Amino acid sequence: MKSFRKQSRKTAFLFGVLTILLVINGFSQEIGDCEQALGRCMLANIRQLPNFVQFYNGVAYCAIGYVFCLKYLDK
Amino acid sequence: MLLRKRVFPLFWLIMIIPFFLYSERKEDNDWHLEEILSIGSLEDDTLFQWVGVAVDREQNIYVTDTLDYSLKKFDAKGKLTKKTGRKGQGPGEFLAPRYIDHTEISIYVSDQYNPKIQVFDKNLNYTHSVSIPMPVSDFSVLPEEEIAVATLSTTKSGRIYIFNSTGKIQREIRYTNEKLPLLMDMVNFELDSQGSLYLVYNYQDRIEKFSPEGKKLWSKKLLGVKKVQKEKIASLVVPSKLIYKDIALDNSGNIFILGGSFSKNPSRDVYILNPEGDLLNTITLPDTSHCIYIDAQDYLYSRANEGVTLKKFKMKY
Repeated sequence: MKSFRKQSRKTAFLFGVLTILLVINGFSQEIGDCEQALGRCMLANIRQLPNFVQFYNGVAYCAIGYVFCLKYLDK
Repeated sequence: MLLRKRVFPLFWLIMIIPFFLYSERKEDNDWHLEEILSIGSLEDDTLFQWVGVAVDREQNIYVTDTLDYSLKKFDAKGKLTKKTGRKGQGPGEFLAPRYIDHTEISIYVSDQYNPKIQVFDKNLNYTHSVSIPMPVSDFSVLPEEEIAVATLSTTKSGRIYIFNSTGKIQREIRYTNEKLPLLMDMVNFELDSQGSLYLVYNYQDRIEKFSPEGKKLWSKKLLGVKKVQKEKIASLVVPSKLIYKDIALDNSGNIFILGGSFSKNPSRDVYILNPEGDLLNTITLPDTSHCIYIDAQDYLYSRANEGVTLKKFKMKY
């Protein structure tokens, strides 16, 4: 039981690190205002982990914000 | 000789018919906009960055202004008569006020970062909130105070949810069964007085009409865009150009669609379709806009000066 808990904690930690790396990797390639805002929103959203329900809800909020930004700024 | 007598008139007839057809078509195409009101300018502080607009029967204009966290009311002449709201998450406060709809007695306002739709009376006094536990990308108030909400779900795509006045989901309209990548099911929608649903995809060249029972009646493409370019941002793969930005209906049931980056005049071209989905015309807004709105008297509203100005137009055809 103890080793299972240890294992799942380890997995959650690794997943968190992986997500941060992926986010930073994507973030560094951005150019436009909306892309930057989406990157920042996703970085802030990582705080929701390991609560995956909240995390995916946060992804939806970030993505809708990105669409709104494109609608407003894109010509 | 006889042949000449018969062939010549026929020849002229063939030459003349296209001319008449063309002039008739040209007359049909002669839709244009006449500006009749402009609210806010670069020289004043009336509007900072307006987002949503709604107009009541008395021609009062309600506008959300996202930069000063407010809801504003203007009279028919464009004079500011009331303003409410400040930054916050409490009753009557906003973090990012977005879209507006109205009934005979109430004004409904969504907020990008608050999971609720706030309700105000027509004097902009806060009355109550309806909890919406999902991000709202578009909404419409139905009879019986139900609210139809378009959202984005990372698990269930292609649905519009109908909430009752206490914030419980009553039913859902499934507009696509396809499993689509992130954002590819994003839509703006309108419901007519019979309950028919019209929707336009933001990232697909697709405009659709559904019966009140949820049966798809038609699906149209206007621009021939097959694929939208995607970008990888912060581990998300997202489309980077909008095909359509907004949809509105006039009182004759015509459908007005604001085009995005793929239009001849990006964010300015408005395609007009009849209720059967046939393209009637295209009008071009004088300035780029994020949305269009048509009131009960068929006046069209759009943006100018990047959100500092709201324009009201009379449509002439």
